[in-house]
Amino acid sequence: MSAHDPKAADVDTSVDGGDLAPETARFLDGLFRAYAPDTEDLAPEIVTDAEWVAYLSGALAAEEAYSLTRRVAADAGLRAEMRRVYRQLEALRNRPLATAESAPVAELWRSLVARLSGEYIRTARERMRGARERVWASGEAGEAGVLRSAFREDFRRLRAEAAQTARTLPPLALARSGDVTANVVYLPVVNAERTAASVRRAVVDADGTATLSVTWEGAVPEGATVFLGMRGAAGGWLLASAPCAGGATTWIVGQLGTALSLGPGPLPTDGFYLSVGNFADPPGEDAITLPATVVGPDGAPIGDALLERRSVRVEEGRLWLTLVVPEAVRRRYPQASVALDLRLGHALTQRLDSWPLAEWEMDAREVSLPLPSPDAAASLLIALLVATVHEPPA
Amino acid sequence: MRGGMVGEEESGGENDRGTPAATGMGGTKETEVGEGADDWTHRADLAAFVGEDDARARAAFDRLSPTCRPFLARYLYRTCGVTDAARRDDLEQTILLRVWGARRNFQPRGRDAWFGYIRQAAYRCFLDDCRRRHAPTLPAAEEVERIPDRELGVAEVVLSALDAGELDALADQTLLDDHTPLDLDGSTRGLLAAQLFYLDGEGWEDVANLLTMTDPTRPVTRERLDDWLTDPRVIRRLAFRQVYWENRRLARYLLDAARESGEQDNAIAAVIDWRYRYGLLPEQIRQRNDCQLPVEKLMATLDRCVARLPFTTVMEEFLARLRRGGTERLTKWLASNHLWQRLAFAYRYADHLMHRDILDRCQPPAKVAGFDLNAGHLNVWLANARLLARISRARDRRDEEDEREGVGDVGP
Repeated sequence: MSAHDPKAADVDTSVDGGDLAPETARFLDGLFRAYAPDTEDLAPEIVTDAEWVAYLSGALAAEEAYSLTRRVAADAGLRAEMRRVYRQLEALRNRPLATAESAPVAELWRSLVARLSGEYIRTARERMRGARERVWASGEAGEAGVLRSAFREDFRRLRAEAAQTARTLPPLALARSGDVTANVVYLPVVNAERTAASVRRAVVDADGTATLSVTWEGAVPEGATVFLGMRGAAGGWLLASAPCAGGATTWIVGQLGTALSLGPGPLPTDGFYLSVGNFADPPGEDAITLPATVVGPDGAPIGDALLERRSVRVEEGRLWLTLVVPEAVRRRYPQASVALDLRLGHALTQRLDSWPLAEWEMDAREVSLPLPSPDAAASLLIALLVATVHEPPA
Repeated sequence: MRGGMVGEEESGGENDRGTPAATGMGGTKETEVGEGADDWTHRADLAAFVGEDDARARAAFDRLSPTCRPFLARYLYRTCGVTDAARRDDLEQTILLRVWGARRNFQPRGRDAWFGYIRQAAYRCFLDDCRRRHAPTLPAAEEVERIPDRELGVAEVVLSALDAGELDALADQTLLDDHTPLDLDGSTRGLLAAQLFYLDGEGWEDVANLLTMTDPTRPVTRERLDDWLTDPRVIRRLAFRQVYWENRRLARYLLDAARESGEQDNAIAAVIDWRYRYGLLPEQIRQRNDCQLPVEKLMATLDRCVARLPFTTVMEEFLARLRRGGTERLTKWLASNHLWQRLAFAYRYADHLMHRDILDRCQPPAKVAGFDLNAGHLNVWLANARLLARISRARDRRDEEDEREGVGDVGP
C-alpha cells in the first residue's frame, strides 16, 4: 500500500464540513466535557445467566435484545460471558440430563426455573381473573357451576398457553427440590374423587395469604406426601406437595391470593385435585397423542410418527410415563431409537433419554425420566416433552 | 379559531414574505415550520410583542404562540430527539415563557427573525433541561448567544446526539461509512458477528446459530453472514473498536506494564495516571508540586510509556486475524482515511487529547495498516471542529432524506 500524503491527489483530506467559529468550537468542547464519563473506574457490566439465556433463546423483547447486542459488541468481557453461556446451552442440547449436572450448568438451570414459574403464575392470574369476572356476571346462584366450567376451560387453555409461553422462554430449570420458593405456589385443595377428605378451612386473607386445612379421616397414612394438581384438558398440572400429619394438614400459603388475583374471602377449590403418594394425571385421563418427528442420520426430518403417552406420575424424584410406539412405526424404523427431549426456547432442545426401538417388545412401555425437582418443574416438563424417532447412521 | 387568523385581522393582514433564513451548517430551515412563508401574517404582532404596552404585547403573543407550537413540537422531536411527549410539552411551555420573558431583546425584523429567536430560545431551554437531567456542567444557556446563527444547527445536533447517547453511532455512520450508512442490524448484529468470527475464531455455523437464537424472527443465513463479514463498514467498525482505547483502559494497561517491568514506584504510577488517564501534557505534569519524579526520570518514564503503547501490536494482531479468515482484501479498507478520522474524532472529543497525543496513539497502527498518518492530517481534520461540522451536516442530510421519504413522522 502506498504511503498517503495529505496533499496527494488521491487522498481525501477534506472533511466536507467547513470551519466553525472559535466560539462555536469552544461551546461544543463544553458540551463534550459535560457529557464525558467519570474518570473513576466504572463498575463492570453485569448480565445474569438468566438474562443471557433469555437473550440466547430469543425471549427478550426486540428493544432489550438490541440493547444487549450493542453492549456485547462494545465489551469483550461480556462477549466472553455470552460465548460461555452459548457453549453451555449447546452442551445441554444433546447431553442426557443425568450427565449435565456440572456446577455451572446446574447454576444456569436453577436461575431459570424462577422465571418460568413466574411466567406460569402470570398466565394463571390472567385466567383466574377471567373466571372471576364471569362469576360476578352470573351472580352467586351460578357460582359453583360457573367456576367449575371456567376453571376447566381456563386451565385447559392455561396449560396450552403456558407450554407455548415456555417455548419462548429460557430453558426449563430443574432446580433441586426445595431450592425454589419465590415463585412456587403451594396449593393443596381437596378433590373427593381421589381422596376421602374434607376441607376444614379454605380462605384468602387480606394480604393474599391463603390458609387451608384439610382432615383426612384416616384415608391417608401419616407422613404420606399429597400432591396438588390443577386439572387440565391434557393431564394435571402439579403445583405442590405437602405431607399428612396428625390426620390433617394445614397450609398457610403466602401470596397465593396475590398470585391468582383472589381477594379476601373463600378460596374456591374447584378445578384442583389431589393425588396421594405420587403425582399423577387426574382420574379419567386418556392417552395423550405425542407427535414425533422422524429424522434421518444427518438430523434432517424425513417423516412423522404419532406416539402416545399415558399414566404420567412422579415417583421418587423421577417422572414416569407410559410411552406408546405403535407397531407400524417400529416396523418401519426397526433400527431407529425414540428419544424424549425437553423443548428449550425457540431453537433448543435437551435430550432427556432415548431407547432403541429394537428393544421395544410391545406398543406400550413404561419409561422414567430424571426429574430433580418435581415440585417446581414436573408439569412444565410434561408440557414441553418432544418426541423424536432417530434413524441411525448408515 | 386559530390565533393566526386573529392576528391577521388586527395586523391588517400584512404579509411578511421575508427571505427564507440562511440555513447554514445544520440549520433548521424555517420554511419547514408549521406555517409557510406565504401565509405568515404577523408582522404587526411582532412590533406589538416588543412594544411598551404590556396588554397589547400579551395579546400579540397570544396570537403568535400558536404559530410557534408546530415548529417547537417538530424542533424538539426531530432536532433535539425528545421523544417523550410529556417532556416535550414541559419544554414547550418553558420555551414560550422564556420567549415572553425576554421579549425586549427581540428585534422584530420579520418572520425569519422571529423563528430564529424562537429556535434559539428553544435550544437554550433544551440545554437547560439536559443540564438539569443529565449533565450539570453544561455551558450556560447565555453562551448560546455567542454562537453564530448559521452554526447553531451544529450545536443542536451535537447536544441532542450526546444527550441521547447516539453521537458514537452518528460518528460511525459519518466517518466509517462511505455514502450509504450501515443499517441498524449491520451495526449491531453484523458487528457482533464479525467479532465472533474474526476475533474469537468462532465458526460461521456457530456465529449464525448464536445470532439466530437471539432473534429467531430474523434468522442469520450464510449469505447474510457473508455480507456482514465482507462489508467494509462492518470491518471498519470492528477495527475501530479494537484500536480505540479510551484513557482509562490505556492507563490501566500502562500501569500493569510498568508493574510487570518492576516499576512499582507510586510516583511512577501517579505520572502514568496523570498522563494517560487524565490527559495531562508532560509540561503540565512537570509543573505539579506533587510530582515526585525529577525531570530526567519523569521524561524517561514517559518515553518508556510511549514505547509500551500497545497500538502497533493490536493492529498487527488484528490484521493477522482478518487474514486468517482468508480475507487479505479486507485489510485494504483500513488504509483509507475513514478509520483514522474516526479515531481522531474519538480521541479529540471523547478523551480530549491534544493532536500530538492523538498522533502517538494513531500513527503507529495507521502505518501497520498502510496509511501514513501525520500531524497534517490531524490539523486538517480537527481544526475548527471540522469533523463535528461534517457529522452535523451528514445528520441534516439524513433528516432531509427521511423527511422526503416520510420516515419518522410519528412524532408530534
